[in-house]
Formats: sequence, C-alpha cells, structure tokens
Amino acid sequence: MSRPWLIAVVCVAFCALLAASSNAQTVGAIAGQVVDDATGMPIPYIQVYVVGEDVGAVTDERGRFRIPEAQAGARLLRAEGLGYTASEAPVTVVAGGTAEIAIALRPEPLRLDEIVATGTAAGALGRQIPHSVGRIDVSRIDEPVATVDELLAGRLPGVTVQQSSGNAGSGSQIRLRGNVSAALSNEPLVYVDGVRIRSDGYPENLPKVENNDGPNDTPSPLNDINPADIDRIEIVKGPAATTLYGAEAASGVVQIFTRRGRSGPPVWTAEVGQGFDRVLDFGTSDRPFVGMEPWLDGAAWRQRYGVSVAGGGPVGYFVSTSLDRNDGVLPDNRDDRWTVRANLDVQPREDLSVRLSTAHTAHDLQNIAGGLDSNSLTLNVFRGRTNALGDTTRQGLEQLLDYDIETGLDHTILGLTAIHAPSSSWMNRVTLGYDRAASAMRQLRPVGFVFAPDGILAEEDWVNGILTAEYVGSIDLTLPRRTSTTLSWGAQSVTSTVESDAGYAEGFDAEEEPTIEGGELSLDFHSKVRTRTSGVFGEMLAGWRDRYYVTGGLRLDGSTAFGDDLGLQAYPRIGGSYIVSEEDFWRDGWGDLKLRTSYGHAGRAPGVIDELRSWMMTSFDGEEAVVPGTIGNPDLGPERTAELEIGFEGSFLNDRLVAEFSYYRQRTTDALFPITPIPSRGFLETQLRNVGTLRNDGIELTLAGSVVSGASFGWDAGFYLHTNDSKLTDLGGAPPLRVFDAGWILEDAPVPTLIAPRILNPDAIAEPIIEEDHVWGATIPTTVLGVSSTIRLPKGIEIDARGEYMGGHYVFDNVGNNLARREVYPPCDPAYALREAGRDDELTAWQRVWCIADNVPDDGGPIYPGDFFRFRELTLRAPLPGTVLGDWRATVVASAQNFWAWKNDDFLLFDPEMVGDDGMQTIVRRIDSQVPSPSRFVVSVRVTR
Amino acid sequence: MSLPRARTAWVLMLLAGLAGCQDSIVDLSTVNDEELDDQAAISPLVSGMALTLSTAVGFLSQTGLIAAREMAYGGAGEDLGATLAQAAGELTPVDSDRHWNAAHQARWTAEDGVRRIRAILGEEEFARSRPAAEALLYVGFSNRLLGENMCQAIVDGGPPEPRTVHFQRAEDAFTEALAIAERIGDAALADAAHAGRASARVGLGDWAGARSDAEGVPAGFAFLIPFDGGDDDRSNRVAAGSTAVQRAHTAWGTFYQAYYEATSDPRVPWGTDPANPETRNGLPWLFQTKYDDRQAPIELVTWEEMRLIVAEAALRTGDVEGATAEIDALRAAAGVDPWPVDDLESAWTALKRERGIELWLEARRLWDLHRWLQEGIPGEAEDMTGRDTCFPIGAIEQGTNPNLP
Repeated sequence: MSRPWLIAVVCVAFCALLAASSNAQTVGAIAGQVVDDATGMPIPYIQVYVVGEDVGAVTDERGRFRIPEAQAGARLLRAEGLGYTASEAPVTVVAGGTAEIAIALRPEPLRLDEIVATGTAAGALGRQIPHSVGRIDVSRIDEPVATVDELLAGRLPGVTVQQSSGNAGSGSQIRLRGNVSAALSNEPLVYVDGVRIRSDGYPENLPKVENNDGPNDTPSPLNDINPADIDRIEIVKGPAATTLYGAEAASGVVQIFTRRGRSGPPVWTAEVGQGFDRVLDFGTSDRPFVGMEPWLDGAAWRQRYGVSVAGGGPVGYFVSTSLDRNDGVLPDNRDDRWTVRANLDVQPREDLSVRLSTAHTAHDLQNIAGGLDSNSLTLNVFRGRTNALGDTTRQGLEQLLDYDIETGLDHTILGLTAIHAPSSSWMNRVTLGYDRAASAMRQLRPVGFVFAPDGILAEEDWVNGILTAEYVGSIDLTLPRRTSTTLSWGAQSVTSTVESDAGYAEGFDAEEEPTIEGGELSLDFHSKVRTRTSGVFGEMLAGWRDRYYVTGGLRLDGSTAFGDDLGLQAYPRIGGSYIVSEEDFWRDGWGDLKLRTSYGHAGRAPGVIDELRSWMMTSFDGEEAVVPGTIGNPDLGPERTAELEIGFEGSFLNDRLVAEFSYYRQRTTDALFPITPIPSRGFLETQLRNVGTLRNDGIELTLAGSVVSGASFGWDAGFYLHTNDSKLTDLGGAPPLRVFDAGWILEDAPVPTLIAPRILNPDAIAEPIIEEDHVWGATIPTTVLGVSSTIRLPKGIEIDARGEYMGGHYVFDNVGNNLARREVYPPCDPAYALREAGRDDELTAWQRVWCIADNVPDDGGPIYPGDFFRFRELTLRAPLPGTVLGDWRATVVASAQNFWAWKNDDFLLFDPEMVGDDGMQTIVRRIDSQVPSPSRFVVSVRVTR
Repeated sequence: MSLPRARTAWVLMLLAGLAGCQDSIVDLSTVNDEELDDQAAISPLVSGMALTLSTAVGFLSQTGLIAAREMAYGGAGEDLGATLAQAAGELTPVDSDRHWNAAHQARWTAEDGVRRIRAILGEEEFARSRPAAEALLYVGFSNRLLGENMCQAIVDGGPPEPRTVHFQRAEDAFTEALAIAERIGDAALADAAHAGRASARVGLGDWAGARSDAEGVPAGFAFLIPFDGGDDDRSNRVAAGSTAVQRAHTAWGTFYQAYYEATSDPRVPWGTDPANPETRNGLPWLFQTKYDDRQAPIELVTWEEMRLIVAEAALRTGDVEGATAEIDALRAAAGVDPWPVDDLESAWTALKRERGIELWLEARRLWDLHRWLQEGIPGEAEDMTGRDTCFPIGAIEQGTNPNLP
C-alpha cells in the first residue's frame, strides 16, 4: 500500500497548497451565493472569479462562495459552470470589507456552448458535436454513491448497468447500446483524465488447477475510483462517435474527468457515511432465501470516510483521500477500499499549461467460494440434502468457511497532460499516462479442509499495465463569410502488458504454514502478454454561420493482435449538426433545437494470443503435463462495427422541457465467433474466426422537465427509453454455436440467444406438450425505461427518486436446472408434496417436466422472462441550518438504493440482474450459485468549508 | 511477433515524437506450440497423453456401463450418469460428443506427441527412448479405445473409415513400443506393449497373433490409467457416479446383481446403503465398490485379460477343454466355482460371462458384445436387442468435418 510515489505526490500537493496560502494578498473580500435562475436553488461547484485578476472561488454545496483577496474598487465578477450560461456581474470591493452579491445563472440544458472532450480529437463545442454524448455531472448527484458502477446505473439511455452478485467487490456489467461482439469483451473503453485504464474486470480469484474453485466473481477496476473525486463523466456509445479511439472502441467510450483545483482559497469537504446492506428475498414465499437465511447478514455494516481539499493560486490542486469499509452480506466477506488522489494544475507560461493527475487505490477483498464450485457455501445450501458435502447441518456447512480467499487490488493511475497553445487558434496537447491494475490473489484450503484434506494453496500476482501516449494538435481557421474550420491531427499508442506469476500447491504438513514451495505437489505458472495498438488520426470540423457543422475524420490503426498479413485498419467517420434555433425564422420562445447525424467505424481487436496455437500447462498424477489448448488462427483480425446515428436535442417551453432522441443502427462485420474445431484434430477449445455479421438497432429518448418551478418548491421529472434490437445476420456458413448451455449463437437471432424446451401447456393438469429447441430470445434487455423525480422543498431540502425497468430478455437459471435434477428446486415444493402423497396425476405439465428429475432437460432451462423494475434510489438531502464546528456547513443525506424490485411472475427464483460465474465478463447471462446484489441504506453527513 | 503493418503505425507514432519498445509474448500457462519442440517438453507431453486418455476412459466407462448393461441407469443426468436416450440404449451423436471428442483428443495428443518427440530426439535416439515407448503405448491404447467403442474411425478430420483403422494404428504403435522396450531392456514396457497389442489384434481378428502376444505376458501384469480426481474430467467417473449424492447407476436387475449375490466374486462387488436405499429413479441402489474413490485407476490391460484372449482363441478353434482350463484357473484365483461347461455353446457363455466379470466397468464390454453379435457367436451375454453397441460419430465432428456428408 505504501509506495514512494505516494509520499511524493502528497508532499507535492501540500507544498502547492502551502504555496497557494502564502501568496495571499488581501485588500477586500467578495462573498455571495449562486442560484439557479429558474428554480432559485443554490448551485454547487460553480467557478466564480474576478475578471482580469487571478482570484476566485468555487461555490460550496449551498451555492455560497467567498473570495478573500480581491483588489478594492469596481470589479467584474464572472460565474460559470456545467449546464449554465456564464454570467457576469459588477461588484464594488471595499478595502478591508466584504462585498455581498447574489448571482443567478440561466440553465443551458442543451449545453451548446460547452466544450465536449469525448469523441472528438481536440474537443468541440456542444453545437458542433454530430453525435449524442451522455453526460453525468457527478457533483450534482446527491446520492451517496459508493462505486462508479452506481454512478452509471439508471441515469442515461443506452447505458445498461446490471449488478452481478452479492459477493463483496462484485463488479457490474456495463453495456452501451447492447452487445456488438459475440466473442470479445463488450465493456466500453474507459479513460480517466485522458488516460486509458483497464475496463475489463480483474481476473477471477481462481487457482490455475481446478479452475472453478473460488468466488467465481469479478471485481471491476472502475470501482477502484473514488466517486467523490469525479467531476463529470462523458459517454459516447458507438462507432459513430468513437472512431477516433480506433480498433478497440466499438463498444463505446466512458471518459471520466476528476475534480481539479480552481482559482480560490481552499475548499475543504469531509464526508462520513454509515449504513448497511441487505439482500432482498430471492426465493419462493416458503423459502425466501433458498436456505441461506442463517448465513446472510441482514444489516451488513458499511462505512465511508472521505476528505478533500481543492483550491488554487499558481498551482491548482485537488487532493483527496477516502476509506470505505464494507462487511459483505455473506459470511467472511469484506470489501475495504482506500483511495488517495492528487491532481495538480500549473501554467508555467502564458501558452503552456500542465496537468498532473495521480491516484492510487488499495482495495482488499475477502470472499468465500461461490458459484458452481463444490466448495461453495451457496451451492451446498441451495442443493440441500443432495449437496456435495453430504451434510446440511450448520456445523457441517460451516466447514466450508475454512476456505480463505483474499484478493488485494492495487490500482494506480498516473496522467500528465501538457497543452501548448502558441496562439488562440493553435493548440498542441501531449498526454502520457500509465494505469497499473494489480491483483494479488491467494486462496487456502487448510489441511483438514473437507474437500481437500491434504490442503491446497493457490497464489497469483497479476498485473495489467497500460501505457498511453497521445499527441493531438489542432488549428482553427476563420474563413470569410462566417465560415470556420478546425483541423485536428494526432497519434495515439496504447500498450497493454498483462503479467501473471502463479503458484499452486497441495499436500501440506499440518504443523507448518502452507507455502507454494512446501506442497507435496508444487506448480508454478508464469505468463506475460503484451499488446500494442498504435494509430494516427485526423479530423476536420467545418462550420458556417454558427449553425451548420460538418465533421470528418479518419483513424489508421495497427495492432500486435492482428494477424501477420492484416495490415493497418482504417476507420472513417463523417457527421453533421444543424442548430435550427439559430435560424432567423426561429422565435425566441421556442427554445433551442439541434439536429445531428453521424456515421463512423470502429473496431474490436482480439486478444494477442488468440492467433497462436497453444497448449495448456497443467498437472497430472503429480507431474507437469501439457494438453491441447487452442488451435490458433493466423488470419485473425479485428471486428469492424459501422454505426449510423440520427437524432435531435431540444429544449422547449422556456427550457422547462428538454428532449433528446437518437436512432442508431450498427453493423458489425468480420465478427469474431468462437468456432468449434474438428474434434478429431485434437483441439477441442473453440477458436476465434472473423466469419460473421451482426446488427444492432435501437432508439434512445430522454425527456426531462420542470413540472413545478418555484422559489420554495419545485418538482423535476425525467424519463428515458432505450431499445436494442440485436440480430446475427450471417454466421459465415458455420452451424449454430453453443456458447454456454442454453446460450446459442445462430442466424436471425439476438447475440446470444437462449434456446431451450418450452412447455406449451404449463398450467394444464396433463402430460406436457413440449416445443423442443424453442428460441426464447435475447439475454440482455431489449427495452430499458428510466424514471426520475426530484422534489425541492424549502430550506434546500431535496428528495430524489430514480427507478429503472429492463425487459424483453430472458435469463437461464443454471442453478434451477441443477436443483430440479436433484429434486430440490424450490418452485417445485408443492409438486414434491403431491408426489410424496402419491398424487402425481395432479401435477401440472410444467411440474411434470421440472419437478421430476428424470424429465428435467439437461442444460435446457428453466428460462425466465427477465423483466423487472427496480427502485434504484430514494434520497433525502437536507442542509443543516447555520454552521457547525466554526464555519463548516453540513448537509445530511439519507439514501436507500435498490431497495425494492418488481419482477415478472414467471421469474421463479433468484434475481434478474445476476450474471453468472463469469461475473461482469459473462457472454451468456445466467444464474449461478450466488446470492443477488444487496439493497443499500446509507446516511451520510457532508461538511464543507 | 512479426507484424510489419503494426510497426508501420508505430513508426508514425515515432514521427510524432513518441518512443516504443519491442513486442513480446510469454505465456507459460498457455504454452505456444513451437515451445514444445524441446527435450524439456517430452515429459509433460507424455503426461498430457496420459491425462487425455484418462479423461476419455472416464467418459467411456461412465456411459459404457449403462449402454452395455453392466449396470442399470439410476436417474442421474449425463454429468455422471447418462441421458435418457443412453439409458434406453440409444447412443445418439449429440450425446456422444463428449466421448468422441475426448477419445479423439487422446489419440491425437498421443500421435502428435510421438511425431514431436521423434523430431526432437531423432530416429536413433527415439528408438532407444523410454518416454518414446511410453508415448507409443498411449497411441496404442487410445486407438484401441476408439476402435472398441466407436462405430467408425476418423483420423485428423479425414473421411470415415472402418473402425479397424484404429486397431491397426494401435497394433503398429504397440509393435514399435515393444521394439524400443526390448532394445532398452525394459520388461514392464515390453509386457504392456505385448498385452496392448494382443487386445488390438483381437480387434483385427488376428487371433493367432493375439494369442501369441497374450502368452508372453507374465502373471500379475496390469497396466492402469490413473485419475487424479481433481474434477469430474480427471476422475474415475464410475466412482464419482457412485456416491450417495449421485446414485447414478445400480447393479440391480443386471447379471452382476444375481451373480454377486450368488458368488461374492470380488471382481464385481457392489454394496447397499440403508440411508440411501434407492437410486434417483427409485430403483434399489446397489452401488459398485470396485472403485473406492474418484482417484481409483482403471485397468487398461491385464494378465487376466490375456488368459481370456488365450481362452477365446482356443474356443475359436473348437478347443473347449483348453478354453475352460484357462477360465477355471481365473475363477479359482478369484475364489469362485467353475462355470458349468458341457459343450461349445456353454463354453462360449462361460467365456462371455468371464470377460464381463473380469473387465467390469472398464469401458470394454460394449466392444465384446458388439463383436460377438456381429460374428453370431453362440452363448449367453447381456441382451442387446434394440440397443446400440457402439458410439456414433459425434454431432460436433459431423457438423465441422468437411469430409463427412
């Protein structure tokens, strides 16, 4: 946890802080409040500064600010912040006194004149952007958010975040506009302050031998970031917007911007949060937790402590640290996260600014075995009398808790950006970044453990280092006839190195501490894989009369993951926007309207070892052994996704209604599919080949409005809709592929699709009529609806509520299948009772299939409709009157998250958001032997000064 | 890796003022193919052959015992039991994928390994290499496993051929293994090669050759395939299906139920569990106790089998007395009474029963029943009317092999 650079960063940050303090030269102060012109509500995190002077401040959570050092006399004060039109106001500063001023900012819901950094080479104004950009202003979120997953969930159309499991540290699955690949990761690329970080999950803590033993879950590197450090998030969802990110951007890009110091005195913020997690019922009415009641903590304690300081003089600084300690809902589960961040901004010359971003997270997880693992508590409890342990007593099951599983995550993100602007029209930017995501995994089954009497120890040190180097240049050319052109060019290289050192040992002396070297069988594994993708890009943006804009761009990429003869890949884009409301015929009261369309290509590269013929190293009968792995494909190349997006953004009714709409149409060619090789050639593992084509269409609609707007009371309501219709259109002549049990890839069906028997007369008391191989449908939601509401009460009190519906998809209950085959499937309890009483003839057709072991289809269901609605959040925010502890101001926030859900009546067991043993990486969502993600109840106190 | 175009882009990066470094891939948990062309890889290659053969024997013994009626279906699914079709004696292509794939992987792994070891060592050193002889044994036994269980042969994605192709490959491999063993004076290897070749020659119908090989195998000889019991694919799946949880099969209703009740022959033991009196499908649960646990090895070939080859070879020449003497000797060693034999047909019954007893639950019975039925050999054995006696080409092979219609 302690690293030399950390000490250096903290020293630098505080030196900067001291330097800022020592430079204070006060002649008069300015204090005041910034409020929303429409609602009268205070606005936090607004930059307020004196024009022409290097002094300013940032508003606190009550919208208040204080500039202690302004020169006396008549001054011009400027306030600007995200989502508002900048405003200037005159103020007279009295030497030795304090000038009071109130500033009202007019909301600018379309943000036409704000810079958007994501999706363009060098940034562009909102009016110039030809594609939709999802924006989350984190500083405006009241909810005490614990992870970035939670920040993204249920806020934007096209951003589908589903929880994985109730294991401590479990990462959520994020999809932007659905799946664009059947074989590769569909996680979006993630950038933090311009630095690429690992977006795929950490590896599962599993031994290299017997590799389904462990928690069978995946932590997410995204959740190493302290949400309180984030200023805003920009999301571009498809190739129409991500072309300039090249060969790995087909699944979209999430760009996180962390908070930075701004001109002004230090603003301190501290937060203490206390609460608990609790798992909601996931079983039947008779067995609401499928036997897990004794093992689940009904109020697993959560604690959060954080402090930050932001300010700036010659050096802008933001320094923060936080500690989260969470007891898991499962026994022997723990999730402890410590973060530290220091962001520094300096401007050594008029034409040069330098930004340093540093962050480190130490994230320690403790878990027990879970999922499809005979050591798993959940598996053995769910299977009851037929469990692998052969023991259903508490004492017997407790033996499983002797299996110690620990994961230590260390995540460091370093970024240095230098911007050189020789003139107002010419800019050069260089970004160097390094992301180091490391996982130290250890699991021990001690001597005497029920399923490993001789003891088993597995350890692995895994590191993914990603080095980002990027140069971007741009020049603005103003041409006659109100025409403007911006040319941008650049190059980017991302080098990812994944290295693993692992050991596996079994057979220990009971008297000695187990070590890898000390086992009767001891195996070492080492791997190191480096992938580099390098590209150059260029972009031209042309505008005319502040209303017509055309953007064209091209990226050329090469990658070590491409086959030898594949060469460079070209990804073009073109788009345009039209600000209709700038036209002369548009009346002032009509609001603003922007039309846009964009078309672009992006790719998704396979893993660098996918092209190689490889063998798996393992052990057998105490000896090292190698067995066939993958057959290799030297012709492997990236998938290519082309996307057309058409839409509009508008604000109407005097800005009281904001609407945004997008239609998208994606086509993935050269799609990679895992093709099964010919078994008699020895290799049985599937091999990726570029053989297919798939499409992905849908719409996104957002409506946000101010229903009631007043000085003391207001009600804002929001709604969004996202649809996703995915189909595989061509499998390149290959037969349908089975990717997991009931999960298939076949033509004219979503990717992936569930295929399993369907009972046509489920409720009839009769023999079942079964449609074999029924094509059920998609495994990820095809329709997502979100609703939100914010009620503003006097004294700054706010109540936020947010809910989300997902539906149109199906979920394969892999546990249910196992339980049914053992005749311990809870939905069958009434049927088992009938059979016990010899009344088999009273069974329904459904019961005759699922409640009689002999009739249960192997790996063929049960399949549940995945529709559900979940209350994502109900939050009360109340500023405490006056000040506390001197001049600190306090706000209390109480929040309940994911605390209520409706699910389809035919969803018989578990939770629709579970994803299965591959965690967030899973291709075929399913239910494995885990407990669902818990609800969360938190009270948080934030103080600022 | 050599990726010139990727480097072209990198050169452009350099032009942009950014530096780079060399590509490298090292992954020892997944070994690149060319890294196995090394002396140090020979031992792991041979262990890999044993592992893949072990997995294949596990699958074929598990399903074979149901298909050949060595035991009755107990209601557990195909993980450690059988599908309903298999229980009814129908061996479908889809249900046979696991068996086909595992057995072919075992064959290919062994044959490719031999090719590789030959290239690493050179012919001269190969001809005197113990690991090479071991590898050839795995070539032989994996081919014998395929020949005995699969209805048709396919080699390396080629067209379907008669199953005798596998027996011929097995014979060739055992012959070469034998030559190496004799050259280096390794008697145990030579015995294994002799015994293996004898069983392969049975498949080829070369009874004289089989008898000749069998006669040379010393008493007490056995060659076993181990299981490390790690997961199901590394386990003796017959034992794994015999737990109180699985109750996947039962001796109830089979020849071996009554026979063991009458004789207590230690070669076909089964037991009962008062706490779990029934299988999942409600039959009396008479679980096998030949294999104690998931790590119990399975015999690939034994001296006892050799004596039965001698006996069968004798019967095929009408030598009832000679055959009966061999069988009686085995039974005496097991502590059970001789079979009543008074003519050729009853001698065949004794031979068939004795092979069933001696090779019980070893993935061999289906082959015996198949060849006897094909040849119209007299005598009693399990009734296979309406039941398949070999595994078809797997559905995945059928769907991927362009040489199949």
